[in-house]
Amino acid sequence: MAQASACEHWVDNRSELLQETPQAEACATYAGRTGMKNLNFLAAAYIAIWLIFCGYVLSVARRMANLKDDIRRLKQDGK
Amino acid sequence: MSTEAQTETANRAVISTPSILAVFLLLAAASYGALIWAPTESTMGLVQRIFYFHVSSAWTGFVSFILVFIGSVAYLRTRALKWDWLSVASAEVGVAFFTVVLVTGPIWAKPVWGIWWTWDARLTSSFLLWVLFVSYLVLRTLVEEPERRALVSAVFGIFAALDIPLVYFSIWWFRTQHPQPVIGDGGSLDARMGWVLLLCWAATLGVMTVLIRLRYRLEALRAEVDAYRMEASRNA
Repeated sequence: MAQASACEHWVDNRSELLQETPQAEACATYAGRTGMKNLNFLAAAYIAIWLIFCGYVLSVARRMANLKDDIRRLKQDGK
Repeated sequence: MSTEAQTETANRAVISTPSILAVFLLLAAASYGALIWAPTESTMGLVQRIFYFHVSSAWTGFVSFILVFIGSVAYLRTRALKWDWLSVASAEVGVAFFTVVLVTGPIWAKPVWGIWWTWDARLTSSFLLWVLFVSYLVLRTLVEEPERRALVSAVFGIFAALDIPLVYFSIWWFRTQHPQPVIGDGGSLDARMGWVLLLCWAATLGVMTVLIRLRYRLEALRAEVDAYRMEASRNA
């Protein structure tokens, strides 16, 4: 409990995180042991990956459908 | 080869169902490995599992941007539009992969470093690489004439690709917040983690191949539309 409180203080003082202090190491280990609390970050990362790729594939599919429509229209106009 | 012939070739290069199925199977296996099979890292805990797709997306992004470089050089040598199509397809897919890197990196950094972002050499050069290739794509929208667009893009593509070694070697050349490499010389990655990383890289390379082929076909369709429009304006 004391460590949890110390680590919360440590996280609040973010500039300390850039230094390799014993406090930082202890808190990093603590965070690893209670790793489940970072599950939301893991979920966010994997959701972001899927959203980026699904969004990209949808964008390509939409552009492709528009071009196919253009080709159909241009072919009809040419006849 | 004429534009019409190149368009025909692109139209024949349809992505087959088995290849898409193979990529999905690879992705499923890689996700299982990354989220379940790989051991949990003792210091960072669960959040370290972001590593597998973060690193493999960065490597795949590099491969895409190297394809832009190859396509650009080949276009300048041959003036065949198919190389320009390969370059733009690879650039767009590379930007998608580097978007993944730039989004997942801060999500991983926040619980581990306590900050979302820092302007160190690796992060800054990666961001710059992404900006350069987004600029490459924007630049293409500003030039209408296909041959001129291909020429300008090829020159800019070669220039943008020069940032790739800077990103890759930045962790050796500069003192950075970003970790040192975990595989290769001096790496200390657990064997099972290493296998999962390679599996994820194979899966992202598969995704890259499918997306580049899809995007290449889009560019071929665009050339077909341009050809029909030119023919219509000649007949008018």
